[in-house]
Amino acid sequence: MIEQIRKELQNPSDLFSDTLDNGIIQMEVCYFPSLCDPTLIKDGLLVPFSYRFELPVFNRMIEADPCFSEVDEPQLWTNLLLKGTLLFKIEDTVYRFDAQRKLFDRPDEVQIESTLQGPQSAMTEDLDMNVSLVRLRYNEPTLCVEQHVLGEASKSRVTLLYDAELVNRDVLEQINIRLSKVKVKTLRATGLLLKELSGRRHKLFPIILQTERPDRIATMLERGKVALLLDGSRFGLVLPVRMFDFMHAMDDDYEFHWMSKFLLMLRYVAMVLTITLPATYIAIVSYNPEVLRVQLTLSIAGSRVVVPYPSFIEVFLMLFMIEALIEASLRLPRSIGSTATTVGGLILGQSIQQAGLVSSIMIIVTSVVAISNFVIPNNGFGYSIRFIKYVFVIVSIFYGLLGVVVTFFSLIVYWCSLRSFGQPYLAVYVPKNEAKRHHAAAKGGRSS
Amino acid sequence: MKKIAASILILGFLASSSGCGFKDLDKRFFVVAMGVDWTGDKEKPYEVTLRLAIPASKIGEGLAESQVEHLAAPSIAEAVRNLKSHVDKELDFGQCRIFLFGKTLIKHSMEEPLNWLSRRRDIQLISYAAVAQPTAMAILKANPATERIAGNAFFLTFGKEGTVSPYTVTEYLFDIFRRFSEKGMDPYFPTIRFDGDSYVVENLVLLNKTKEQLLLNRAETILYNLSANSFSRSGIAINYEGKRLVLYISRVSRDVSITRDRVPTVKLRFKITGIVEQSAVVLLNSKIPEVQGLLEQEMNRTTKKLLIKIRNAGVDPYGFGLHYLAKYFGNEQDWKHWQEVYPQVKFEVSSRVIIESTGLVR
Repeated sequence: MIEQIRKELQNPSDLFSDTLDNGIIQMEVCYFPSLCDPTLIKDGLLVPFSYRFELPVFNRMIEADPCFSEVDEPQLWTNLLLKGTLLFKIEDTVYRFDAQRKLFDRPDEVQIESTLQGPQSAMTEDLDMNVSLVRLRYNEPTLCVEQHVLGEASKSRVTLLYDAELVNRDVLEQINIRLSKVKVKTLRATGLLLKELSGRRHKLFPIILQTERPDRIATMLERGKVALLLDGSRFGLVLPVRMFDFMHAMDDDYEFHWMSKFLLMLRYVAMVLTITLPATYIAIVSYNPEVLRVQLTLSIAGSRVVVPYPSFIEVFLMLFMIEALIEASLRLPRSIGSTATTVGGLILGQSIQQAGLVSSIMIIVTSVVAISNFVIPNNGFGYSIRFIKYVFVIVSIFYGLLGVVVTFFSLIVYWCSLRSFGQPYLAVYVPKNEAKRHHAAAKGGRSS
Repeated sequence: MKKIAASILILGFLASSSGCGFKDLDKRFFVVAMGVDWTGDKEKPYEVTLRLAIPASKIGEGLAESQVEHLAAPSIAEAVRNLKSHVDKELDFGQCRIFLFGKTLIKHSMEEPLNWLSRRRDIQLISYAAVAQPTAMAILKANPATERIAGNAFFLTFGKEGTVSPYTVTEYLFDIFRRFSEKGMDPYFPTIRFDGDSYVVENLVLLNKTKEQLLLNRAETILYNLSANSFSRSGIAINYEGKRLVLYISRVSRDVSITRDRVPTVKLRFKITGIVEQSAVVLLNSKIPEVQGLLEQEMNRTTKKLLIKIRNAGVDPYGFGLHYLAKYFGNEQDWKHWQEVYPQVKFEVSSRVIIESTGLVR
């Protein structure tokens, strides 16, 4: 066995293989120490093999323990070894012993979608842990867990979770079709899987929700949605989703009703502001100054007197600054992270206006845009919103306020035209338990 | 690739076809008030005055800087075009909230100024309009002591956000256009003059479809505002037991009906609710019905007098003619009939005054 494996794996140096002899029988052992848990091997295999060894007892253990099983086909050996399985051979029979090293044994802390008074545990990079986290929160016998393996080189495990009684069958069918079409070499992150499953690459908005919170996945499962978990990624994918799901923070479910409704409204206002404000600034300054009251118009004109360039150059300059600042604070090592905010926020904001490059109103516009953008609870959706505002800016350079209005209308039309796995993206009136509706429809013989 | 090229091309075409020009705020001169006077000169009868705001980044004491430009020309359009060469930035009428017409112009004819105003795209229809005494130029050159932003005193005077006076009848440009063209409804303008440190708006000029016919005095103006626009916050004053008694009107509703006799009768009914604002005589609850009766009589008498005065001047700012036509499916014949009989139209005014309280003093 050992010779064959060593040959197939090109004689790797990190493979451990030996023939053990306890005086009664001989056993060939072969495993990757880096992929296996040494204490597990010691307690599970080496101790029973070496101390007070009796062959019938040892055989009974191999027969009874689910961690052990016989491997008949030699072509599976290398694959099993690479997954972190130990192989041993006793009397011409090859057995496997599952002794994968578990890197994560407790849930992660939430890092992106933090809440104040909700659960603080997030998913880990270990698939089995994640499945257990979801099962813990959605403890129904109807919860289906389907395993797929994707990626030619990475052979990543992907788990499909759904409630068999609630799920929309049309959606499930589509996912299975798309999963079977996924062709990637390595599947490194859920983001890749998201792109592969979304179909066309040029979509401006995500149609799959990416989340790190097991409680969000549980709520979504309860509503009949499908969740996808990928081994090695601390994010899960949820689909099909509507635009409103991206604007929903988990806090909304946990906090005081009226305040959370108010905050929800605030988020939508912030979204509209961050999309349209830079464009509206250009439109008002360069095309339609009659929109504002005369007092404000005159004070904008006053603050712009020293600015030598047209309004759109001012806007591009400031938007570039703020995007660079955001990108820099993301990439900077944590220990020098505060440098970016100090340099960018305090020094630049003050002096760029004093130098007469931008007007003071533009500074306000920029900060409103930046702050409102981060009010959006979902990062992927926030990225789309961050991008879409440039479309508005470019249109407003040529068409003024009318252009902004028409582009906003087009945006709504675009949202309406989007489909997330066959389900409308901007369906406003969908019952909370949306899946129930699909099932009633299915019973009535109609397809939804 | 073809698709992208095509879309860039289309975008390019569209970009070059954009409507109004790209011009930054600080490259525009905002006209905050505009005045038109009639000089009487044969060659250049229209004197156009523009008040231009000079933007300031700091707003404070005495910073209401503005520049006044004026020019006489054969027409308003020519005057404005010529004025463009007198300033260094593009003129923008977008923020012009007030149009003033000189006393002489309104006595001559309003047709040409209104024609120019209604054709311009950048004229805001929510602007106010007023008659300037003695001339629009004099009003625009005046500097009110309390003005902090150029032209702000006009907006505060006429708009409801500043002072709300029953003497100030606010007239918007869109309403003027309507009144100048609508059958059975005639336009009016408030008058504005400058008393040395502030603007005074307390009279009303009534016009037929072209020029001034009647100037209402202060008492008539407040009564017109009450009876035509249901403007509360005004008052009725009577002599009661030899002393002055004033009712503050907090709510007023009116109802008009017109009979279809050969000579129609216009019936006006008012319901006025208010409180006693001032009374030298101690007013007991038992006397309130008596006072109410006296107030009603006063209201009926003065209103009827005003209505007859307006009718005799041959104008109809209340829109009784329009009401008549609307009520009786007016065709051309009805309209002719109304015009014939309008000088003899009878008025009936009945009012109900309710004194809610006598103020804090019981």
